[in-house]
Amino acid sequence: MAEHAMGVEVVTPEAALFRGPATLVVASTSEGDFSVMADHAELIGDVVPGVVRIEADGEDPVTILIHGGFVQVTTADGAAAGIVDGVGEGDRSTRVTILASIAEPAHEIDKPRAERAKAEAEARLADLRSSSSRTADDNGVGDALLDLAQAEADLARAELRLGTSAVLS
Amino acid sequence: MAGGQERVLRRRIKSVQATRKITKAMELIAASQIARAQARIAANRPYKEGMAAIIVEAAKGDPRAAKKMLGTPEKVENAVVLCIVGDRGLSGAYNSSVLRATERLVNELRAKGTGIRLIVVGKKAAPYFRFRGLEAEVSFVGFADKPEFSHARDVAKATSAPFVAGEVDQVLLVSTRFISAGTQTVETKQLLPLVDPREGAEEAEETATKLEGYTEFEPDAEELLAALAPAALESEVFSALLEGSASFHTSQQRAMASATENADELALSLTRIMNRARQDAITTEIMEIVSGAEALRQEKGA
Repeated sequence: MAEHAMGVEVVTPEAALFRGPATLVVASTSEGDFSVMADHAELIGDVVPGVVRIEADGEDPVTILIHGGFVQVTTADGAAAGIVDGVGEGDRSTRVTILASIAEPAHEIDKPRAERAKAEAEARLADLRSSSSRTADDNGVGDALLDLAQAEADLARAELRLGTSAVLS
Repeated sequence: MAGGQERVLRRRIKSVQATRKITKAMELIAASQIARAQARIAANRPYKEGMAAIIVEAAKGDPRAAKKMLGTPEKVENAVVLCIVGDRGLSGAYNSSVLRATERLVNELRAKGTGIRLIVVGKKAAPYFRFRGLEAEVSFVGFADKPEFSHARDVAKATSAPFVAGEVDQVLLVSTRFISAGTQTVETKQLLPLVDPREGAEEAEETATKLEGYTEFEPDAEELLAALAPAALESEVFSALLEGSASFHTSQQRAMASATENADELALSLTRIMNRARQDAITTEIMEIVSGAEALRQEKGA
């Protein structure tokens, strides 16, 4: 299958995690899973936390864990000016850009750290749940809710990391 | 008496040279930090540009929602001013030029009757404004040198909270733009509402792209814009922090280079003065000996 490749990049504010040609990109938005191949229609979407898989001819697929972000699919003469340089060889007519504020290649996940983070978040959550039911003065509620949301988010992130690395190994 | 002067000078030269060593070291450190800060700006560029491109497309997808969320508000009753400076001094005019620009902006807005809420990044900012009777609502300290994205997220959260709650109509940013290693300028920029990317460039772009088919949105453009806005703000704040830190190191390097040069000059001229003083002392001593001998000889002859 020598179909033509697209230029794909996965970038975070601190670095570009992936940049090169690919034949298939799989990710999920809030409306469901989607995959992109060359000549896909232009698309803008959000990417929910999860794994993005990038496949290229003759290479192992690359999996990158994304903690939420956005995806943009453009055709080369679309308005995606500025993302032109260095994006792969091959046919450049389709370009996929995934923006994520936090992301990491799946094989680089620090499993022990994620486990520690999970345990810590769970402890904090249990602690918050038991204490917030007791003390509910009007000033503390907002903060408690915020802490709770934070702990839940931390927990979700740690679980996502662990789940991803479990699938891999 | 003359020897005393020489000793004083020698001590001063020593102190100048010790200071020179410090400024030279700071110069070298700053120089290495510049390279690192510049690399981080470069690494941030794809994200920043990708974000801008997405917003442009999303705004095109739903111009009505875009109009609501982007663009300059017509009437500003209350505004947040975010000011980004460094944590440390000894960096030439870096801190003071941003601080002065902020103060000017605040005075201008106040003259128009706008209520001001100040949020600052950098240890140098809060005391400056406190001295001028302006209390910073939030002051972020400790990461101006080497900002991480999580810091940008905290700052973005603090600055957007009053906007989201509807307490202010506009959020402005005063910071230093790192244009190149040679040029940095202080810039005032509107953070919220997000600047409509279509403004200004509208005509040129419209003809260039002329809508190549149809863009899909998942979820629809309005929802997407609402989700994009905080991410775009974080991205803006982060790049402002990065450029601020690069500018800080650049201007510190420049300031320390000129301080080192100054120390060299000072040491040189002090050495000259010291040598002359020593020469004077020797000349005076010889004169004394000669005249003493002369007096003895005359006494003998008489």
